[in-house]
Amino acid sequence: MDKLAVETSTGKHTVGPNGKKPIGQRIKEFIVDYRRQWEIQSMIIPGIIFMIIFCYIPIYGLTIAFKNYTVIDTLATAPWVGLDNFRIILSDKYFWDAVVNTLGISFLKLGIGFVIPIILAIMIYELNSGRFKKFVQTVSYLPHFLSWIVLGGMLITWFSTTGLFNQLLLSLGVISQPQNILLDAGKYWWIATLSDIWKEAGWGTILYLAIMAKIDPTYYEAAKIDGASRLRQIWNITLPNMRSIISLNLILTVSGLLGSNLDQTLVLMNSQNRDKAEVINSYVYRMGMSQGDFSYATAVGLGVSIISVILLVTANKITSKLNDNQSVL
Amino acid sequence: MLKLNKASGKKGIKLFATLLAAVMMITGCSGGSGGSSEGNWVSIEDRYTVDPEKPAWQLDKKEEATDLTWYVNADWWNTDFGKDIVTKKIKEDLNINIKFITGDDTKLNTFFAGGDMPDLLTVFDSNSPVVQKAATWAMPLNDLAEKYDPYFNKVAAADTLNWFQLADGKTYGYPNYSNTQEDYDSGNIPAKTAFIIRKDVYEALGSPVIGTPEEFQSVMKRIKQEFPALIPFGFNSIGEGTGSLGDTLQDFIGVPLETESGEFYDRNLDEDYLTWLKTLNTVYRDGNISDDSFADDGTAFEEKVKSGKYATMLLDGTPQQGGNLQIYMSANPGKEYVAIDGPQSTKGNAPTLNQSGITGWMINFISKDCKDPAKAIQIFTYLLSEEGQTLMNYGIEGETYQTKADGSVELLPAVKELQLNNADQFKKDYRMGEFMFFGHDRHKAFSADAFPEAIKQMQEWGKGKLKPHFILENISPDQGTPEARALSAINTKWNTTLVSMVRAKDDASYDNALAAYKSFLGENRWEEIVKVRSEKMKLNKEKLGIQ
Amino acid sequence: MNGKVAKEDLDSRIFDTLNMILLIICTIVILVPLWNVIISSFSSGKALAEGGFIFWSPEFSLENYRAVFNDQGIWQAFFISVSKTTIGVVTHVFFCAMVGYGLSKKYIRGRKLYVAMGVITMFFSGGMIPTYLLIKSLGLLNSFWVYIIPALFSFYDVVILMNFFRNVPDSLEESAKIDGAGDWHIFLKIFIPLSMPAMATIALFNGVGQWNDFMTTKLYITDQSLYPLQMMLYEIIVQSQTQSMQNVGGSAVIETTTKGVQLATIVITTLPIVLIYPIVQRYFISGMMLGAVKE
Repeated sequence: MDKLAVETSTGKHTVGPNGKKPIGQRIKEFIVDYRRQWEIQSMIIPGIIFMIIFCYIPIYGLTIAFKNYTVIDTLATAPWVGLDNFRIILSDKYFWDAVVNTLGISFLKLGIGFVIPIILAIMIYELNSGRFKKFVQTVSYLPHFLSWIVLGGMLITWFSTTGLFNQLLLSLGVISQPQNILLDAGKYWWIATLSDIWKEAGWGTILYLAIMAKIDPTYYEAAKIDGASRLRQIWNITLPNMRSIISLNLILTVSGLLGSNLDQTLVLMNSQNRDKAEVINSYVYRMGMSQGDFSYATAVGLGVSIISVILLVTANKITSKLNDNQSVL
Repeated sequence: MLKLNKASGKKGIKLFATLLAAVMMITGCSGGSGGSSEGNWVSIEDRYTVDPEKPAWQLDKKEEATDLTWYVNADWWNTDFGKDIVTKKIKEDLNINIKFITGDDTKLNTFFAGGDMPDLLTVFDSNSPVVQKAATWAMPLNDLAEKYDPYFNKVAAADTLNWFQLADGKTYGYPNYSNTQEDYDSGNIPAKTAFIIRKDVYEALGSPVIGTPEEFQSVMKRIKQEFPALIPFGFNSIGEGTGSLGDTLQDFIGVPLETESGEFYDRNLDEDYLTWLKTLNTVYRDGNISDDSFADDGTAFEEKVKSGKYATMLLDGTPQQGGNLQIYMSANPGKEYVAIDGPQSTKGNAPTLNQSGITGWMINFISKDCKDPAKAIQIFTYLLSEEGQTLMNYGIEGETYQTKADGSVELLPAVKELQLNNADQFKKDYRMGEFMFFGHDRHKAFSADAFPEAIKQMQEWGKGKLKPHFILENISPDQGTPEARALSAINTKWNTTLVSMVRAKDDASYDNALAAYKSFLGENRWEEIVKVRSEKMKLNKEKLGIQ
Repeated sequence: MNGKVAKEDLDSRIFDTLNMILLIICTIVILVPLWNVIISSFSSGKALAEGGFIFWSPEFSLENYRAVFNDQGIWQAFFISVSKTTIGVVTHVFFCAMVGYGLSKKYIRGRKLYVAMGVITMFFSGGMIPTYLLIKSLGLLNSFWVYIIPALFSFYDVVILMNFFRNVPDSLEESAKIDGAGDWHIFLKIFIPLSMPAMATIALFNGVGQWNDFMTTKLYITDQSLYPLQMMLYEIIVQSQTQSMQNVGGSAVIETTTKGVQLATIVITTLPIVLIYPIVQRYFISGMMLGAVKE
């Protein structure tokens, strides 16, 4: 693995009673190594500085979660309420309903929506005709550019009782009476998931196609000579090469389980499907808006962030075990 | 590799906790509310002396132009200044340059948190702490008027000033479209709701009366028979609210605003109103209300209005749909929508149509950091005065409008031409009717052109049916209290219940929905909410001096 | 041998045919609604209000586009958009590649700490208010550089690039070091050319982000001459929504509907990306050629 590992500089040394090197020595080693690696380290430093300035300094804003912060407050004047905000949120029945909806939709999106871009990317990759390939690629990512306001408006039109969807189902004899499925809470999770997949699947193939572009074509030739079918070639050559990026995407998707698409929710949700449509961030948005309350939103955001990091680390651990202990982070 | 073994896991958490703690200590030091805590009381000694009979802007001898920043808490505000007729005149007369900044609550908060407030500020939510705690950051209008421009008191309505008075007895904000009892009595306020029907449908059916629930139901059936392409009954898009089936319907049939003893009355559970909801449910079951009406958003609704898809509508906000109704009317002469009496109370109540109340819509303030508060109050006075209002609505006499013999105002033909055919250019060059910080309907009454033709009959129909809802304004529990949160949940529940009731497939579901809502009230602090509201109603009455 | 080859060919051809069919279906499913969007953007307000058309608009109209291009500020906005996208993308990709390259070496001291710091930035943010105050104190309010500097770094992009760099065989670096090359030289002359697909992807993602972003403008810019295209379009949409609200020119017949203008803006926004993408695609292919390095 570490073929280019650099040996520590101080050579052999004595070991302390608990088996670790004494701290003075460790610091010395660190400094020497650091100097040796200076060229590379210098590449990382700007990133560190950036993170400190733009991410860590403003992080004090998280304290809003522990205060009662309204529009006219400053961070100093807002009164301290400790964990009160969290208590209110966790005892709110509607909050937990929103959590259920969020997880439900996210798992659907994970199960179906995660796999489809991979399959689609492979399908495009396997195309022989250059022009059709380019055409399909371009068409596939265009829906990504539609805003949810527009797409939602289109969906409202299509799902109306006189709209495309009902016309289609009526003519196929699947239903006898037109129905506006946007008013049906039970269907919401599927509407949200499938419309999101339609919009984002094509865009998701781009990253995978970039990886696949780097696969050595001689592998395929060799496999063909050995008599492997196309499917087998995909399974044994294409997929393993995509492993690290798939793992990366998987980890990030898992860590995002508590999130959801606010724009989509605001547009598709109505008073009839709300029970199944209200997700965490739309609920927080409404509470924040109507109460003018920044604390609520910040508190929920903080809680979700902490859980997301835990999910990320867990997912990373699991996938790295599956990948021969190679972590993508 | 990010191993979550005990050592580095603990290290990571320790690191983060230390960071957070360090940062919290820093925030202790970060102050924020900059500027004087008293207000920037500039001296006007060498500029002018106040005169209660003359607006100060005419007296001010200040030579340099004053640059002011004006923050408007809305995305849609047009930030141009000085290029069109209206703002150019304002610029000349007052010798000012205004830089507008738009934003939402978060942007607003960055001003408070960052300590550099804009000179002038306009918000829309009278419930927010911005308005309620204005004393901490804004300058009192009473004092400003006294010191810089007593003429302000001539143009500002006393009732309105009282309404916005805070605990310290001073008023900090002044709104637009604030209607007082006087305004309601004068008849200058046009109604904004109506039950409208397509003229061709109305005449084909023999101009039927649609007053009682039975009549309503049977007429809807007839419409469906004779005009199968239309949807018999429509209403404003519901989205997450109640469209026009909530308050609007209640006002239409005149549900009382308070109990006999003057306490808070739950209009949603009023018998009369529930009778009408049941009627709507029957109409729905007859197939005469489309499911789409419940799923449509604002845009979809407007499109239906433009194409005349609904045979009848209970419409809230006729001016807002004025453009759409006009488009429909121009394309379909003889089939335009007309207002008729529509659903009546089963208890003989007269309609209590609502309009803008005394709280108004845009509330304007002068902040303590204002560079030149004298100038600021002059702006307020100017815009509130007849002169400013006329300028804002109609432009400059001779240049954009002329006064007719009967005293009414008419736009000059060239201007009107532009208004009709090139709305964009009209907006850029003239911008009439837009600079509405202190706008008021009473000025719109001067001109026959203020409202589109399509809604004039509807407004005419509404005359005499308005009733001020002052006592019900601003009675919600304070933001951040458990009652406020409970009320939020209750309102959400009501919106769902209302639609479920109208869409109920059978009587059992209808009754269940209603029963579920009633028990929901009990589980969510309804009693406390009623108490808070009744108390606030009492306060309102005191402020306005009514019983 | 011949039998085997024939069998493979058959299997291959069946696969290709099925693949084609499925993809054609997918394309239609995607294309039909998209076509509807394009056609609708060329429809008059009246036709849109009536609705009900899929493939061809009953009333063709350029009004929606005219509403957009009428605005004088639009060309300045276009210039700003192009500038911020090109400068932003180049700086961002280089910055992230640099950091990503550094982090891709497992022998780096402090690596675990750096990665931990980066992960935290992906999930924890102080929120808009402290960020605004920071931008303000850095003097970036109302400055063109607010589009560039805060956008330099994204840990997500760093991780992607890090992974691509790791896929490059170590032998290349070893032999280069034996020849006496420094780390910067290896980075610039070897790793970057070999990772073009990755760089191109990040460039594309970031480019799209820069092109579409208007939140930055909304929060930090009040000077109209610094408005990018998206901000102008956003204002046009919002203004058209408020026309009816403000009852301006009550009797005016509105030629454009909000919906029509929204659709037009989407088409205008997407068009440059569609035109640029083929160029980006080339990098995906070129990487493949250079990737044929034998150990």
